[in-house]
Amino acid sequence: MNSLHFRPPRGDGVAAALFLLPSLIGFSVFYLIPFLLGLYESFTDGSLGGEFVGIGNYADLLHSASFRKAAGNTVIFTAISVPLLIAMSLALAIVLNRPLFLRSWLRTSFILPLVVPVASVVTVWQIFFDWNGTLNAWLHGMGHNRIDWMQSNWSMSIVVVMYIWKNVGYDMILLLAGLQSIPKDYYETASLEGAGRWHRFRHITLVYLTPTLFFVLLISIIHSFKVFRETYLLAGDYPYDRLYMLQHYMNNMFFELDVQKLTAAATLMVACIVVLTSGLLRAERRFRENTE
Amino acid sequence: MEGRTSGFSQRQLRLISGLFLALLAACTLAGNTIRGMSLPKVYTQLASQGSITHEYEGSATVQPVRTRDIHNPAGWKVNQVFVKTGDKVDNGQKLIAYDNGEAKLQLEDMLNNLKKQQLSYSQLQTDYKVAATEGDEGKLAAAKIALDSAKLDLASQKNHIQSLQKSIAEGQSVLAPFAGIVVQVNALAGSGPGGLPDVVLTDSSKGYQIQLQVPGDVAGMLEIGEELNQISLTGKESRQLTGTIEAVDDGMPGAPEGNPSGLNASAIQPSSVKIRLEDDQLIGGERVRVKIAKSSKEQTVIVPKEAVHQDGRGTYVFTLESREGALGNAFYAVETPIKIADSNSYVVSVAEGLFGQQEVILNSTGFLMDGMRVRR
Amino acid sequence: MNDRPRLSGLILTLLLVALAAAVLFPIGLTLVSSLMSEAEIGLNYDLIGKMVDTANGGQEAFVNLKLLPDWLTLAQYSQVLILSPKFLSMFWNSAGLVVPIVAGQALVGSMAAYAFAKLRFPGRDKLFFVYLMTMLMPFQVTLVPNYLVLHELGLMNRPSAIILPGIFGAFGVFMMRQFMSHIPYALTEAARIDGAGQLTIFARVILPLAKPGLAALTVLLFVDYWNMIEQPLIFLQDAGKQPLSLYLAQINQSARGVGFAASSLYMAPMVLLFLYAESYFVEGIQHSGIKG
Repeated sequence: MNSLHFRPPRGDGVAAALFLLPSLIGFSVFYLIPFLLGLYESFTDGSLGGEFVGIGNYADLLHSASFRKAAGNTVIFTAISVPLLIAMSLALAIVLNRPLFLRSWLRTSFILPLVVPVASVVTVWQIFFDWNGTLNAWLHGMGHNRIDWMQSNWSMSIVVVMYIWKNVGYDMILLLAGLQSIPKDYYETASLEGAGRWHRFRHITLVYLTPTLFFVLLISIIHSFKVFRETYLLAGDYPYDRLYMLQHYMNNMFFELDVQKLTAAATLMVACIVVLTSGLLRAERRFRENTE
Repeated sequence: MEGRTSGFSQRQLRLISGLFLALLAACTLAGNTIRGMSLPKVYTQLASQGSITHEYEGSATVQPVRTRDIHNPAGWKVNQVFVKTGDKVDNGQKLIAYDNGEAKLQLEDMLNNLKKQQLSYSQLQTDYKVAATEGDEGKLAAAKIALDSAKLDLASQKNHIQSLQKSIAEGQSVLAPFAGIVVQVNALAGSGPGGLPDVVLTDSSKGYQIQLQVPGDVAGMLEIGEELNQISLTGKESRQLTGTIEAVDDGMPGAPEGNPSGLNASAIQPSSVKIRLEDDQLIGGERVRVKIAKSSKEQTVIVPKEAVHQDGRGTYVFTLESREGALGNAFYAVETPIKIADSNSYVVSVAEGLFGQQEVILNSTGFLMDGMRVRR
Repeated sequence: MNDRPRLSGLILTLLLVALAAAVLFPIGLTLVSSLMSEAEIGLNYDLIGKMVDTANGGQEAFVNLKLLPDWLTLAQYSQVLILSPKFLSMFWNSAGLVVPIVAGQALVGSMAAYAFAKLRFPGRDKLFFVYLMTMLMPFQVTLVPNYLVLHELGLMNRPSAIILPGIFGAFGVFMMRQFMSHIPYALTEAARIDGAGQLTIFARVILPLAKPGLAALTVLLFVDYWNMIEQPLIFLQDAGKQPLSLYLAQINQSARGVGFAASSLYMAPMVLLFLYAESYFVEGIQHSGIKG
């Protein structure tokens, strides 16, 4: 359980270097150096020599309305979609953890969207959420007015639905594994002691599932950052205001050649992810130490 | 977590995957062939801006503008022929001498008769004087009548003689009435007058001409007074001549102007065109070849004639349209109605319906219809 | 006492089946629609993205959700597979990008993972954390520096611009390390005592044991890179080299009918791969749990 901290028997510096070398070279060239370059860029102005301007770019960035909108939307989206996703996948995992008719088929069905390219079902999405779409047809049939799903604040809920559709399988798999690692006799003991269903859920399931939940939370947040793919396919480069997220912002800054804003935004985002990840890892460790 | 979940066995899935990839590979490899079989291939050409050229080529015989038939003036036998065909003659040159022997004999007879009449006239005068002196009224009147009648006979005979003398003077030869060239000699020494003129002369000063039947499309573009220089003498000595258009006679006046969509309507009716040739060495009768190439003045869109089709609704061409689809560029044949402004045997000039640089389908391996997908 | 769980189980199953049907619906509708004729699709879905002027007496019009084709036809498939070469060329473009990435990342990643999991060297955990962070970054973060580096290497607009960064992605390292951590030290130690070098241990002991991990990695990478949109969107501007994922994003209204067939063909390899290796896939996701 704590492979991050085990100690192998001896030092193997040379062998390790050889095994790591190919990966390290490529990794440095394509990820690390670019990132460091970006970090450097974010502190310089756009001129050729690259004058050092300190945190000027960041100040500019934070004053930029479109960045604030994008960052705000990203935060809102994550704050809405992640808890929803986790709640739904937890419910599914708990239900599917029981012996059920068709269980494996059902599980496969919920995982399948994960592998289906969004690009190939985007038309179906349009059929439903278009101004003339099926959903509006139903609303109309029930005597309501149409809703412009993609061009109103509803647009974010569409993306949330898509995000959940896509990722519910991933979280469900992780949570199912977590559930299955909880020894069955804990429940039996608790039942014998007269604990109710809710009690068992709170004091056994949730407690033992917490380490998994930490990870699920982290991976869900990461996945929520990657929802750009879906949004792009549904709404293109410049979607409705509510859908304009940090990734759109960065993409568009790239095409506008505003390197400084882009790298500053990227650095901020990385900082957030690093803080978030290490915070979650630390919280998880502390939680584990407390329970052990 | 338990292992297999879905209802397919690994084996089945492997088979399906294999078939799937094989299908894609087959379509990739055979795609071109299949497309080739299912889509007609078209051959295209760009519609170009240009002018249309009408061409005519034909031969004609050089003819003098004016000829003169010279007939035997008196109907006498030919005594001597001084010229032969092709001779150049000057104004007043003697061409043929005629035998006037009979006429001279006749003249002598007539002179003799005249003398006789003069003699008898003297007698009658004497008779009149006798009658006058006798005073016989009856005799005197008779003598006066006889005398007057003889006087009239005498005058008449004198006229006859004068006329004969004149015709002997004029009819013994014919002279060239103008400078020219002898084109025909029918007279033979010793023979009498025939039906034909004895000599035919051309008038050099009026020059030569040719006459051509030119198709209406070319003729329509010719102007009177226009100079043509693609005229060449055929035969031994070939050389270039120049000519001027003298007259253009539309073949059938009042014939329908030709429906505008018809390709050949105006080209069918020929016009007769007279071209005057300027050359001193021509004598007439030479064969010449004439080439006329006329380009229309305004620039229009030109397409090859084979690209133009006709049906009940009018004339049209198939243009090639490339549509940028999700599946890449696909080509379609599009029926484009056109209005024909002009045409010759090879190209058609389009008045409306086409732009320059539009790709026009000339030919295809299959039957074409509007909107049909094709490959190029 | 006995009836209630059975009844609730039945209701639960029905609910789940309905939910699964909803989740699978976009996929199913795509497949069904791919068998419709172009005309039928035009008839039913032509209104998507069009403004019908209802204010000026226009008819209230909606797309017509059509669940079953009037008659089945393979016309769209023949359009996609036979009549136009673009789909297939892009399909092979995709394959030409994804296969080298998956193979390369599995190899490079396994080697690095071996160093991280079984060898000891200074700074190992810190370096691993850096890898982990990169893996979590959205693509846009290193967009500009990545662009500059690729430009510097002369790789822009070449498939290598996608393949090389793909090969050195951190996910392979991460996942294989998680998987290898579970291989007991006793095995590597035993080999070492027998005098085997590190390379032998890696090739003869670790790799065979990590086969399920490799399989899982392969599936996960395949899915991820088969669906990639951002990288080729920016680094492969040359339309002739772009992969299928972009092709489907470009499908416009006029080609909607063809789009369904193309989508079905596009998702087919992923669905087949998933069904074939579902257990590996699930296992792979479970191993991506950070705790390992």
